Amino acid sequence: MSFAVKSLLLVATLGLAACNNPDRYGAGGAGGAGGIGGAGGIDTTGLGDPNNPASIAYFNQRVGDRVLFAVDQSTLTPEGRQVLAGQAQWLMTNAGYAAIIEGHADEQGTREYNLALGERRAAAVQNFLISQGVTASRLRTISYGKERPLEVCSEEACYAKNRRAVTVLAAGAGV
Amino acid sequence: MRSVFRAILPVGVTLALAVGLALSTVAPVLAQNAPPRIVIGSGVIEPMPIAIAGFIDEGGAGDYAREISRVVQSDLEGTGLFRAIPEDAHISRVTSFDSTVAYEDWKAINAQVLVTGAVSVSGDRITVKFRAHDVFNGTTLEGAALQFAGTTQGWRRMAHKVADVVYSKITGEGGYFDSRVVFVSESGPKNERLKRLAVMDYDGANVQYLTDSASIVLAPRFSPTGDRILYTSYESGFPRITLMDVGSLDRRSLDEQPGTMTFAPRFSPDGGTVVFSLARGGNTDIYALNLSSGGLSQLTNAPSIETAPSFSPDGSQIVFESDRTGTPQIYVMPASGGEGQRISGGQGRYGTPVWSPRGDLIAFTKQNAGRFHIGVMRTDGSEERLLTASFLDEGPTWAPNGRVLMFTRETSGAGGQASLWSVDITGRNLKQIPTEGPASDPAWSPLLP
Amino acid sequence: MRVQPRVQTGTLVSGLGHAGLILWVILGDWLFASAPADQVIVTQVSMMTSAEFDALQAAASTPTPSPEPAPKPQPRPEPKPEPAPAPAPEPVVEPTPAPEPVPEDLPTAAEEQLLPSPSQEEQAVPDAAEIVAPVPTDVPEDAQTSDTPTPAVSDQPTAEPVVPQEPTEATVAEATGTVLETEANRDQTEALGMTASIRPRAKPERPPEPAPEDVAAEVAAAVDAPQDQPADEPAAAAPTEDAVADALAEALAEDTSDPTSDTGGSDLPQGPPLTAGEVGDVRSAIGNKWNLGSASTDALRTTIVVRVSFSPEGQPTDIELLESDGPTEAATSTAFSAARRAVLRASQDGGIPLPADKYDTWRVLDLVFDPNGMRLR
Repeated sequence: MSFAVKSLLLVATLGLAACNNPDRYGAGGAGGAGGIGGAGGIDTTGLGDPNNPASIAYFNQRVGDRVLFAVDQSTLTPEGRQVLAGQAQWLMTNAGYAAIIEGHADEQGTREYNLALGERRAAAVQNFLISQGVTASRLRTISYGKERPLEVCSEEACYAKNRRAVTVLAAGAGV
Repeated sequence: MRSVFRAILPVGVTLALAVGLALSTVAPVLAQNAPPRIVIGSGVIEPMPIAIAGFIDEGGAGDYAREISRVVQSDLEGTGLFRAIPEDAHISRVTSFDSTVAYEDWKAINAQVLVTGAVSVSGDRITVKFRAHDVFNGTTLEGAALQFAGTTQGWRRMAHKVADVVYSKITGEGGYFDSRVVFVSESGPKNERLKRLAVMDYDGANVQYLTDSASIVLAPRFSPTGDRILYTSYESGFPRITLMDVGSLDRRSLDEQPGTMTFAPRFSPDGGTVVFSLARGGNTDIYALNLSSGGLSQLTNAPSIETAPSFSPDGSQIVFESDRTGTPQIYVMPASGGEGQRISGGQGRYGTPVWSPRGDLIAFTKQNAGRFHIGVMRTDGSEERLLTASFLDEGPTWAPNGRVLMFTRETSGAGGQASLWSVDITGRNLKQIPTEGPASDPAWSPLLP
Repeated sequence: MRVQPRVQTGTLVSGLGHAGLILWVILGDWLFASAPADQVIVTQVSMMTSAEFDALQAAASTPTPSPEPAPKPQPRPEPKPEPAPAPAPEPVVEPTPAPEPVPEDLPTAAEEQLLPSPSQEEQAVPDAAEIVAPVPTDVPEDAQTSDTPTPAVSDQPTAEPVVPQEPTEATVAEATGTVLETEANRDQTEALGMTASIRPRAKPERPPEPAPEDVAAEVAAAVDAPQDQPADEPAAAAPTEDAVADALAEALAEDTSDPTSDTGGSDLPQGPPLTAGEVGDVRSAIGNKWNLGSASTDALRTTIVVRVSFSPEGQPTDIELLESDGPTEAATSTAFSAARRAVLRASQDGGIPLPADKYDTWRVLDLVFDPNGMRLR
């Protein structure tokens, strides 16, 4: 339960978590048109009921939409693999969704290196999902480096949560 | 490097020397014997006291005269190399630009250089003239008596040009005051930072915004001529290198390959090529794009992260960052690509290498023991010197004369904010650049034409 | 069940967020769209013609072979062929009939162009302007002797109402201190005042030169001047390698008794040698005024030898550059300027402590200004 609560808090914190625009961290979609088909602009997708296994809410909360990494690492942890196995299962069950995997880094690094590091993390997730059977064309990656921390303190407790890859669903996209 | 004296004397000096020798053979005092030789190996290093006489209003100048002399003084003092003697300590007043300078009065207050000037304005045209005097020699510094004319709108630039000439005549190296800096203006909370591109004078004045903050923008860089800017933008939804014309603000993405992201762009010295990082499938390598032909070539090919490329001023080499050994370190490779040779050797992580415009040094960001530093090293990695230390310092950029570095300093915690700082490569004169709000990722332009 | 309402809250938050963003974006575009462009454009101002700029550049890059050892013999060769109304007291800068190549159209054009276009309009030819200046036509030497009544060394500086002058103290330490907190930096700070350079120097293979020891000996000879080293040839004596200089400095510092010599030659006016103590006094008097705080980094690694001629009163009458190992002319010029300033200031502020009874010994001195020991690493 605490996980679900935490997830909700995260959602509330981000505010825009429901938005599936790849540049959802931008200040808006107006300037962000483009990207992959159907994912540009602002498209609103209901989170749905977390009790509905086919809902995004269910994916985010029950399956788990993110995995964390050790410092400087892009290697998946055992826990991470477990979460991703669940994601893969869900994605194969719900073929109507595509996903964009966001890679992030903590602030302990230079801007450009962290962009590359975030991409490497996102790719690790992408590769794992593909290895589990998810069609490659349904997945894209993006890195935000250290530009979009989840937690803002400058301590390891926050850094640990910021070194993450988040799988963001987009309804109707992909194919 | 420093071999026998005579062997490397430049022509001019050799000539002077020849004259000196010729004289010595004539002068009876000198005859053929060398005078006693005394080695002076210990001097002082402190700001040179100079005097800047208030510029004279030669007609219609109004506040411009005072403002221009103020900017000249601010430029020179801002280098940390000079100390302006307060005007109320001046013994003699300069009342006419062309009247004889009472050098004794300036010697008396220990002013080693005196700058005099005059300003006149007619309509929107402004004329600024000045002289820099070597007080103890009782002469005008050679080449330091000039006049600039332009529109009143550009009065600050004229002041900067005056200061650039004075600076270069005294120090023997180029100035950097008449230059601009492109940077990222920031606002909003740490986890939702809004960013937009802006340019300003090197001292923080005349800020202008180049984009809105609808999309994240990162790490802008000036072209060698200062008319274009490269940066990384999320405008398309994904990080893409974007090229902007500073005049028209027209912009375009340089690369549209789906499934990739591009970042860390930098121009070649001739402005014809852009080197950058391209990430695909979890691997980041360095590529070069020929701007005129559109030809793309891959310069590194390793499973590790290769990023932050920067050309040597002669265009023959590229310094970059790679984590092939497990931690980010600095390497140098030929401009045509290759594995590169590692040059960073100390403990810690090294990143964002930038080649000095003089070619002799490479500035970098170093992370070690929980602190960040801006430092410089020779191009072979020797003589590493750390110039700063803080919670987070990163991304140095060189002043056009290769003497000063500007960089981003960010404070820690939830309320952490970024600001711009500069430091002399001797490690002195660390100071914050005034900006309206938080700012990051500065990139210095060349000296303006 | 329990969770459901929260989900709605999340959706609500998201919805509000979107609405806000949309509004913001719309307003944002409206607010920021064009404004920036205009401003940027404004930036471009022209100030000089390209020709002028070139002139400026040229002037700037011309290292100005240093004020030269003032070739006295030459009776002011009226250098400029320019139409310089030199003598005229009110010459005014106007005479600069500069090219004025670019007419008015540029300034206006400038509004369309940004940073790039150097639509400069200007005049002032460096030379002209300079000539125009009411050249305080006095030769340095003259000024020195006439203006500065500084008596001979013996008179003692203290007696004089020395001009309020900046005390040359310790130096920079504080400034640097705030900047650096790391060990490396600390080292740097401490190294400021002195110490040997750490720069790895590529031992140049100086073929014709004598072995290191010999060089040291030679230089030492030149300074301490025991006997007749063929010191008349600057090139030979020159090798001021740091090591040598350091060794020298030490040597000098140590033996106080060591006399400094006769001029080394056999045939010349030679007085009793300066004692090490006297040499040390001269060294510190000049060193205290030798400020490299505004020198280029190149100049900070340039060693020069300056020949100074003195009047019997101890006033420098001529200062000329003998040798330099500067990497560029600009560095040499800057180094020479600093050295000359040091001699002149030392002479003015208290005087250079030269023993009057040994004038024949010090009427001409070769001063080696070697900053390598004090340079920041």
